[in-house]
Amino acid sequence: MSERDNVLTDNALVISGSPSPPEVAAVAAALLTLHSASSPRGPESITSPRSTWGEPARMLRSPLPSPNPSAWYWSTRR
Amino acid sequence: MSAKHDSKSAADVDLNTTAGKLAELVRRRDAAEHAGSKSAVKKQHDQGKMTARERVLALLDEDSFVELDELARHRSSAFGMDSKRPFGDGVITGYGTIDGRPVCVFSQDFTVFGGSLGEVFGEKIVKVMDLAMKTGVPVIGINDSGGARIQEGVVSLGLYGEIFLRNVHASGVIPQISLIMGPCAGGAVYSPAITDFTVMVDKTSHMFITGPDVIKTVTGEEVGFEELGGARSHNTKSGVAHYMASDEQDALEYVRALLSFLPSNNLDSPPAEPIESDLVISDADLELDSIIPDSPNQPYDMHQVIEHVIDEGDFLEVQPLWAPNMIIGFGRVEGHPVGIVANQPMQFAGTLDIDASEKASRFVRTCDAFNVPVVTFVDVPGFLPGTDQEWNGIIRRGAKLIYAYCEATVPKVTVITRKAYGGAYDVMGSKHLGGDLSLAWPTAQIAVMGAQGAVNILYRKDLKAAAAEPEADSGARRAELIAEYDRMLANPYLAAERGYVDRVILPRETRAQVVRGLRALRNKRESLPPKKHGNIPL
Repeated sequence: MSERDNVLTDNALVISGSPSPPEVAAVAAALLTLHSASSPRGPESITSPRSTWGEPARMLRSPLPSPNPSAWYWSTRR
Repeated sequence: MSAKHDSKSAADVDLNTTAGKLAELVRRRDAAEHAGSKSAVKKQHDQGKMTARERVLALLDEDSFVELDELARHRSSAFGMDSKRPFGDGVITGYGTIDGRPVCVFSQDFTVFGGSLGEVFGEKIVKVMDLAMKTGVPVIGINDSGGARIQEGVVSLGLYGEIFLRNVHASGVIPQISLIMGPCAGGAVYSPAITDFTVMVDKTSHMFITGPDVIKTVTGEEVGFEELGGARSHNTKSGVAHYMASDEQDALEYVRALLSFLPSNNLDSPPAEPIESDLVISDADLELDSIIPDSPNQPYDMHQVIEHVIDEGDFLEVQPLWAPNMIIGFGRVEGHPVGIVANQPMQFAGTLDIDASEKASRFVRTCDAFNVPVVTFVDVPGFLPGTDQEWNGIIRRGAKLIYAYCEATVPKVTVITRKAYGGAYDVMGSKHLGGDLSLAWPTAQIAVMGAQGAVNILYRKDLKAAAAEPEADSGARRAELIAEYDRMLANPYLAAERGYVDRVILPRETRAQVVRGLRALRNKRESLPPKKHGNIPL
């Protein structure tokens, strides 16, 4: 691959072939769509992953299991 | 045990030999077991008090006690403390069993530094509380302490705080029981206050935030130790204590009895010895048919009703001397522990007041925390009227009982024996607050208010007109109207028509119906909305 083949567009580096700008844009859009579909949080999670450490929902008390002799032992071993 | 004595004794053993090393341990153990001076022990005995170790051994099953940290010693050097470093540092901690069930225990030793709480003393308590929380077993604290160890300064206060923190985190998770067997003053009182039950010994135990001398200095008020913070005061006036024991043995037996009704932790079921009740009406059951007097103004003893329903009539009453218009305690139905909440018509006609509301609400929450079903017996003419009640917060404090019943998810069975008037009807474990099974006797009067008051309001003009007519018999007219009200409203049938009462039963059927109800509810499940915690009107 020669230096001449590596063409830098606005958002991507073309390392092989000579696609037109609309073709590069189409590939980029397709990749972004694929990534969004596999990420539950959507495109913003790519750049700003949020910690759940301090989320209020984590402070809620979970229901207790039904009382039984082994419940105590298993309560922290789920 | 002084350092001087310590080193002299140590000189007798040769630590270069195995035998010497074993002997050294035996010597240290012996020193730990006799940490208090002979004179201090004698003084303790002369007051009718056991030593800390004697109490632990009397409380636990024979040969079950395993001591922890018996060789721990304080690290303080201030005020000459380095010359006196007794093993154990004034508190005995460890684990053992009661009726074969594991418990953790600590016992403050008044014969060592007056039982004062220093850093190591506090660390030992914290450690055994942590063990109880890890293993899910009850913790019993025996308090006999002069308070914070002044020589150790703020470190003592820090350890009190550490204990409070654990008390709160353990609350509702493992049963916590406090025995007060000597002084317990200042901030130290708040650890027992947070625990589930506080047992005091008559004449030899005291609890107060500030003692008689400080009170006299600040307010000029003169009061003695016993009157200020003795067992009787806290069992009759403040409601801080749950039982006034006649002596230390009585106190320890009460604690053992209490634990027999409670599970080891909130994920366990209460200890049961299931038996199958005979549901055939017995002669004892028939006695309930005649317990309600014909006159609604005549009292009867609700204890009799309770004792007819629970196994063997064996009722362990809690706080019997405080707010006696409300009865609370434990019993068993078919061998399964139940918590009993009941109005007592023999005291203030069974009215709900501030103390009764708080007494019952805390008990309902205790039962709920530890999976003990609640059986409620209702004969309540309403809330106690008066400025004293209003200004002291009957609205806010009475609301606690509503909160407690609404929040409780354990099986709740309610029996209305006679009056269930006004808001008090709602409050006392009604269906509307989540009661699972509501039973009423034919003598029940479920209404907004009693007939006298209702007639005065409903027929005010009628009665006024009758009184104005010279030939009219206003008394007869009033009696007629009262009878009509009773027939129409002051009975259980209107509530039964609406489903507010599940069954109207003969009094003789009560035991069998409660048994059947609790059987049906044994697998009850109910969940509340997830939350950090509610905002109970404290």
